[in-house]
Amino acid sequence: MQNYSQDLIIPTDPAGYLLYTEDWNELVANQLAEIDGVGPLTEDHWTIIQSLRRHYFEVGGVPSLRHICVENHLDPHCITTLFKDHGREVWRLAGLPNPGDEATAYL
Amino acid sequence: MANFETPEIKEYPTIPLIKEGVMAHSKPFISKDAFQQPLGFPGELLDNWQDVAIEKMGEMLGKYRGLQVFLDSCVKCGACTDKCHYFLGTSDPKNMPVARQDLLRKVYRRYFTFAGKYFPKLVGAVDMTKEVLDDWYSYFHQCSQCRRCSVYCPYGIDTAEISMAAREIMDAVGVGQKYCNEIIAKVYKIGNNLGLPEPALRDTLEGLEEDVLEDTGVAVKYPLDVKGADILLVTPSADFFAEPHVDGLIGYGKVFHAAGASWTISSHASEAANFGMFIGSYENMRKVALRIREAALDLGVKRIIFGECGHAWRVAYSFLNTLAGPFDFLDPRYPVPQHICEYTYDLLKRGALTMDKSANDHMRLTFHDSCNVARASRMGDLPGGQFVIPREVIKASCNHFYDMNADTIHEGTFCCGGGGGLLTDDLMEIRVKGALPRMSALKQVVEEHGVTHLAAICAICKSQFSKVMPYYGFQMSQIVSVHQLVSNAIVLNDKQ
Repeated sequence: MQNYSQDLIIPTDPAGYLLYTEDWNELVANQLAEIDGVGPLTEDHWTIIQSLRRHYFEVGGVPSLRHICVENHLDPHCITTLFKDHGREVWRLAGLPNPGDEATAYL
Repeated sequence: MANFETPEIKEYPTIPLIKEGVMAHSKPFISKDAFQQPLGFPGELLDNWQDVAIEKMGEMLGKYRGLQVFLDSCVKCGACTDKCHYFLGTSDPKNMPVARQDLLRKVYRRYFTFAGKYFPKLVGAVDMTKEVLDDWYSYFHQCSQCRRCSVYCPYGIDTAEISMAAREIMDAVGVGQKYCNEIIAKVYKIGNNLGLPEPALRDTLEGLEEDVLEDTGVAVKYPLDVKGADILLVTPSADFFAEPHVDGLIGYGKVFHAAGASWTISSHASEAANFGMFIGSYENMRKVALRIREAALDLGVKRIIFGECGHAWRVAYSFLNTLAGPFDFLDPRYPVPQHICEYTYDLLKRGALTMDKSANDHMRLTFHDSCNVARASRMGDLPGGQFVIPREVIKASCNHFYDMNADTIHEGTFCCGGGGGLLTDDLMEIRVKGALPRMSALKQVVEEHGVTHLAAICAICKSQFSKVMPYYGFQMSQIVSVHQLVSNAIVLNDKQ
């Protein structure tokens, strides 16, 4: 297992989302995944993470998580199986800002 | 999973022995100034908060006559004591509906009744102190305003009404609940609870069109802001976002497609939910509801149809006309508003939809009546239509349907445990415990009939179940949308 140095840990809010989206990079995602016991991240994980980021930064929100799976030719429920805490986990790993209480309730 | 114990599902329902104060610690996060101001509430507890609270109570007693009747007419008969899911799940006696009412009633008596003003101790009247306020904040946020207790009360006392009044008073003195107030502020700013801006909404709907095309080979449309469309669909924003909600939205689109209907969603009124009701604020409820009127006028639609959302349907069915009416600009041949289940049911009755029930043969289903639909509204043109219509839609879509125990459905339905503005992580303990009666009834049909899935027509219910079912040994994927079943079963062809 790779040993990430302590100084790589970047600030998150109490809910676990990155405080500053610009802090995100692949190393950070890997580190968070390892902390959460989701890693090591596979190609499918990365496909979902990148797709989520693309949509978010293009339109200021995300499409249905089901669509993210389907558009990448993965099973419509792939997020449930790939990411331990489902929507919240992928949101955190993708480095998106806290989506608010209501979106969190539905993630 | 959490630092509290999930209640155990017993073989048959039992009334727990009381444990005083075991839920006194449960309270939601307090709203910040930034979420209070847009709603017209002070940002923090006012210095003269006692005076403001009593003045507000007086104002509400004058405005809402039902409130005073409810506060005056309780005879402490005890019929309600074992009817609240939160009492059954927590054993805390303050979660008995009568005790919850008394939190407000004792203050009412002190300031507004002769006996309470002069002989407070004789009638259990108390001053409005900080301790009382803290108790209110805790226990009025352990009520999901589901109104089950009112069904069994011989006087019809509606605890939801009292709980809403208490929350309104708390907002007026500057102690708001973060979850509800942040969300209402978001509706004012962006248009929906989830904060999905117009481009994200468009991206989502285009995505759904691609998914359905790939899945069925049929180009079903999910239109946004189409002027001149016949039908405006107003649905909870959860439908644009998460499962199983989005599967329901896919279903609505397929039904409209099969009916050859011209319909649209509005980015201005992209939210059916109206949290103004949860916080008991008429002004905020009206402001949210008016967005629907504005969208209907702007788009020039002829009808308004609501998607699967429980409290939204209460606001729509019971209050929309007085909040945001008159709707004389809509086509008078249709009810204002209509429920999507009612719309689908009409088509089914006319034989306008082709259904292949075997598409849902991998599921054995039961139906959860959502409280606001069951006890605060109706559906269609027959008494009890809110019970009959969703079940008929389900039965037309699947081969295996079994109702839960008669005491736990229809007007006696148990709340999912997350309604009334409690669907937030900071209240997870009360949400899990409050789900106990429903989970017990579910377990019974699972054991007796091999039921695999629970269908619902409320975004809060669906989300609550997907989060709490794992605590009771079920899986989060066992909760489905009613129109998800329709979506699976409906047979589409390109000629439509």
